Amino acid sequence: MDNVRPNWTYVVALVGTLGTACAEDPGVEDADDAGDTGDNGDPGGDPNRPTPHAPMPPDREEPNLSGEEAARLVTTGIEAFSDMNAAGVIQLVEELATEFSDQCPPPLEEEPEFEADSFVRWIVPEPCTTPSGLTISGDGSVRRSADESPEETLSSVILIGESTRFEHSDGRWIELNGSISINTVTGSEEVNAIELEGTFVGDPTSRQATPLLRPDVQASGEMSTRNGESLSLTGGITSPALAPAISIDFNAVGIQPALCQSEPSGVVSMRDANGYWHELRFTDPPALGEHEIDDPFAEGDCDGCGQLSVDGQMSGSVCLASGALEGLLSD
Amino acid sequence: MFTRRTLLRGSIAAGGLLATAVPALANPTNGCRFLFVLADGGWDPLCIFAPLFDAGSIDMEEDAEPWTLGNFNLVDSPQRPQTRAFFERRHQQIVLLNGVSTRSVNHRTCLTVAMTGSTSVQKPDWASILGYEARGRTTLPHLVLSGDAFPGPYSVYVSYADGMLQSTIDGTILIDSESPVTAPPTTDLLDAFLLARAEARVAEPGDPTKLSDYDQAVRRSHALVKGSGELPLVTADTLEGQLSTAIAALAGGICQCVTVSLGGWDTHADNSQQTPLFEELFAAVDGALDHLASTPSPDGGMLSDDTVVVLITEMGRTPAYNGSLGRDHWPYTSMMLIGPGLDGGRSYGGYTSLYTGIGVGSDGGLDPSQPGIPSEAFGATLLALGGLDPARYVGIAPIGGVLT
Amino acid sequence: MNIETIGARILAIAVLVSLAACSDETTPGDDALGDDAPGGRDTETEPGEADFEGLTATQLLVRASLDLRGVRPSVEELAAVEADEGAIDTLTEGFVDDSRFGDRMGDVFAGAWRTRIDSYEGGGPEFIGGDLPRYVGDEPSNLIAFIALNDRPYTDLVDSEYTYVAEELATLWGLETVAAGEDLLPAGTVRGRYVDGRPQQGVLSMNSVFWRTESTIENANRGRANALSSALLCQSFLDRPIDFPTDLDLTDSESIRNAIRTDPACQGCHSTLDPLASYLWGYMYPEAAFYQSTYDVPGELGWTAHTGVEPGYFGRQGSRMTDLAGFVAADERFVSCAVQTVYEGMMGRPVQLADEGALAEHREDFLASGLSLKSLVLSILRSPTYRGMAYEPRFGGSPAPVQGKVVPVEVMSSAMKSLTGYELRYFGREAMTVDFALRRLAGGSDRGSAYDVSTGAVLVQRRLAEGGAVYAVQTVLDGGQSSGLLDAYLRAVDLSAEPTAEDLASLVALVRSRQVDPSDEAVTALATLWRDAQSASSATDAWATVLTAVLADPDLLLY
Repeated sequence: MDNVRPNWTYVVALVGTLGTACAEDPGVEDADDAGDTGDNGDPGGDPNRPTPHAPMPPDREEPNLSGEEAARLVTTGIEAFSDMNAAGVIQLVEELATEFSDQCPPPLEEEPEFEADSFVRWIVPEPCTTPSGLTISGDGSVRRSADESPEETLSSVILIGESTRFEHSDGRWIELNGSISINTVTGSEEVNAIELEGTFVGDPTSRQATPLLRPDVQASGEMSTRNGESLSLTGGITSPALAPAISIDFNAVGIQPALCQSEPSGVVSMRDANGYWHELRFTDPPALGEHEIDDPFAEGDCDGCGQLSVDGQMSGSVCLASGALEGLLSD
Repeated sequence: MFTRRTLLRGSIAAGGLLATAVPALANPTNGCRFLFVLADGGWDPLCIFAPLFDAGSIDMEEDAEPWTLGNFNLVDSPQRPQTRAFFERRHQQIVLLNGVSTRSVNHRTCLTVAMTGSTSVQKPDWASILGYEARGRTTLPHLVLSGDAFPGPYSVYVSYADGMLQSTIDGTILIDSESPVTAPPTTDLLDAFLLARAEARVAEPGDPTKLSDYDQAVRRSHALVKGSGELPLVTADTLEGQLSTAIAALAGGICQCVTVSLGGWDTHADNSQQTPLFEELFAAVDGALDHLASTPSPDGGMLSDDTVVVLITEMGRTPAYNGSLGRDHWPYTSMMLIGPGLDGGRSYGGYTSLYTGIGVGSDGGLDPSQPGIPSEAFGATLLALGGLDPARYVGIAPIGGVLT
Repeated sequence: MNIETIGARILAIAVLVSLAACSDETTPGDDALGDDAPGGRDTETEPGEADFEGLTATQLLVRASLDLRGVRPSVEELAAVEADEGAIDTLTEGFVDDSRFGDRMGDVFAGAWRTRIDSYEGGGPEFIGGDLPRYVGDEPSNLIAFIALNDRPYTDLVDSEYTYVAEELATLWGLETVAAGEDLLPAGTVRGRYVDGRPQQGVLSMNSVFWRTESTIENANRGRANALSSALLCQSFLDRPIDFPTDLDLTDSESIRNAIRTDPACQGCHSTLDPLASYLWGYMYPEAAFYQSTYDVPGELGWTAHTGVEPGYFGRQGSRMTDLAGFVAADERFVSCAVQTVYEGMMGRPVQLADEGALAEHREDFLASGLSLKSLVLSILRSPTYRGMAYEPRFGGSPAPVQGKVVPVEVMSSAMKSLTGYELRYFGREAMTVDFALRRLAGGSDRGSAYDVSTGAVLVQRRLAEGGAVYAVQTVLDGGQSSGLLDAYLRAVDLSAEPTAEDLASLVALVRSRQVDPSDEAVTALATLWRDAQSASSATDAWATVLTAVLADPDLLLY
């Protein structure tokens, strides 16, 4: 094209600029170039040479979680997960559901095909309001069921909410975008299992008893206890209660005092306020360690210590406080 | 709630409303009209067009069976009676292109490649080129009733009807708005005034292309307003409704190409959803072909004599099901042409046992050295059908053997 | 005979035909394409190109006002420039301090982020209609508006710890609202902060960005990474097609995964795309039916389970979103992309090779100012190219002068609104912001406005003109008051009587930004129109007709 007349001095210089910008250290300049242009980035240099974009790198924040804090957060995190009071969310929804009317939510077109002790369902594409002042939108359900046998009773409650909002004229409100499943076994075995997925937010009063409803708290995953003798947890939690960490992720964390009283199994990862992840990797208890032959940490000890890595870099061994795990199974 | 349905007003036009008002022309150089039907999201050739039952790594539907019909090797399923009926009735008219390469697994990129032959959204799509070349004959050379389009430099010749085109043309948009207003009954005076103003403005110094486009746009918009009572350009929720409007627009001679679309084909979550889509698609296209055959063309004869129906999609779907029995994106697919100027009743190209494409030789036979049919060749075929020299737009010849 | 000439003749006599009837006198395809074919186009008419010698001061005033404020210049500004052409630079450069400058910059960048779409159904039913979809879509533009209004460095785009959204959306998303102090906020927004533990990194922290571009476990955020690359660096991984290796078994997922890691053809993109994607796992909600408004902090580790590809930025390691933000801010392409985006927005055309030298010049000014958008805009505003003149930048090239351009959809809307006070609304939404209503028809989309004139744009302008004219006249007659500039004008004239030539000259100045003598032909034509309309209908309708005529004038579409 006739009207394109590239200035090759510029093109070459720009390539040089880009090269500089891509270098590890933008302040380092090729000696040959330096002789021509003076200081890198000096706009008063060769006017035919574009100035490189070479901003001063920002002060790099360092990881801000100590090993001691990381160790303490293992139990803090498990306790925080236990204290979410997911059952409180279901309770609040069931309370509000007692105010459902004939037309709000609209009647269901089909009855459920399964059996349940109680089943509340709402499908409300356009918000509706009950005579008592409850405004409902979204889809969801609460299903309670129990299965009794001579040996044990299995109880189950499942809450599902999709873009659901309940707002009561008395000030209570709740938003549901996820599911909560709580299963309990009583009898020959005592098992409590909870599974969380999604987000739940509620009014300030409700949040006090149910931290899961706080807008700055999220929890998801599965946690179960068996006969008060073991606990397993896979999931994550984000909560101000975890300070100085922001969030904790539990990967196949288990506590089995019968095998090891001082150390859990699994991996606990903590995210600090500066964005770094601190990973505390515990060995499995001795009796289970044989399964982990590919795991370099699977010596199968029970010394209460785990291997800490920060931002992918090994940082050494970190030990839980003596008796730190005691009490986690008492509830 | 603000939905497409609530925006739809008026009835779908019956075919040929304008046809009686427009003098029939017999211009042999006009080339074909085009009705593009876009399967938006990527249909699954393994449901219909690619009977790869013997390829071990390919998941075919459980109840599907190989089906030979004339020269076609297809896939049949008892779940798709309307599809079966369509092929039984139409197979002699059909040109099936298998193994078309759209060279990506990204919707936007694949669509761009399929519709323009390139990855640049600056390039015009086939329909817009064909419309542009017919700009002297039509008011809205490329009418998009739904789906995407890539006008490239031809924006002035491409019009979208999935918004409020019709109510903007006829002015009812003002009456139906939240703050209704009624324009004064001085339309003709205003028209004359604004045409004069446009003419004066175009004569002033400025960007020649912009001014030229403006000149075109003003006169085309005025022609539309003048003819607005004749043909409601209202799109529809259903493919059948869109096709009806499209045929009316073609019959009215206001456009050379119309694009309609049927969405929902991106069946990652459940590939069985392809079946009702194919059923809807082929039932609607079957009806549209009947409609074309009974609707007079503005150039004389029937629309079926000069209109090519193009079934296009942007991608195929993976040969294996994913975890939710859906299929993901695949860079080879099939397309279909029906209409005049085609050597129908056979397929071109194909698929390997690994479900990659096989190209077409100059004689129309398989050419295993070619990795599928390039979309540029597909486009070149369309341009040739439109009476154009494809070499002006793409550096590749039409697909061998397809054109009569 | 040229078909368009024939068409003009036919339409001039107002005969009901479609252009189809004219086709017997044309030979399609006969026109030779320009030098750029394929993909080029013909010019249908031959306006006086050679006469163009750059914008007049008045034309520059109009262009700058529309580009930087979204409204036409006031009569006073027009008069000031007419009286002293030397005042033009001071006047137009002051537009960057206008409160509307932020919104215009937000519009210019909106096409890069593509968040302005009709609905966000995945956000739940409330994000389908009403204003909420627009509030979501405006989030990236609002941050850019804030940066522009407060002359903050452009790096705030990835460094800001705040977002700016409508209060209703802030409440729905559970944002903590923060007092803005002395800072200027984009209109209709509050300053908010996400409190769900996500890193506070400007657009990298926005729900809107990740609602707009979804992902799945299988796709592993790659589409999102490409969206970020496109918007921040003007580099799309999808610009080149994927030519799948012929020896690759595409039916085997493990084969594909292996190829992505090892095949040179795949690695060309995936070696940089996949690490970029690994920063984004906190936005992945695989189990949720709807988009989530909260960030999943533990999800940040998703890459360890799903791809095994560590976060990284084009070869540089750094695991945190903060690292990503730092890499972006220090990237040459980040700066060049901003320059390109603003340049294209102001020039009303895509950049071409011939623009490279000019881009380099503007980039110099941008860098020297500490990445100030105001400075960048001023640099472009001062360029001969913007003023319709040819020149040779010191870095080479020969940018095509912008002799005329098409008004962006947002500007057509805001300029009309500022004149008439009228807003065409459907179902609680402004029609010009919604594709299903008027935006796409008028030439807009989530990718921004088209640079070319379309038939739809002319139609839309006509209807907005009619609606605005009737609304403005009727409001005055009803004793109400509209926010449009025409309100004061209409109160000053007698709507039951014929306008004087001075009235009409004032109207032309106010709406078309042209100062004309009362004896000018343009005034005479309007007076004739008024009388004809009055004869056909009434004085009131005649006023509405005349107002429509000036509002539908080509001066309001081409500038």
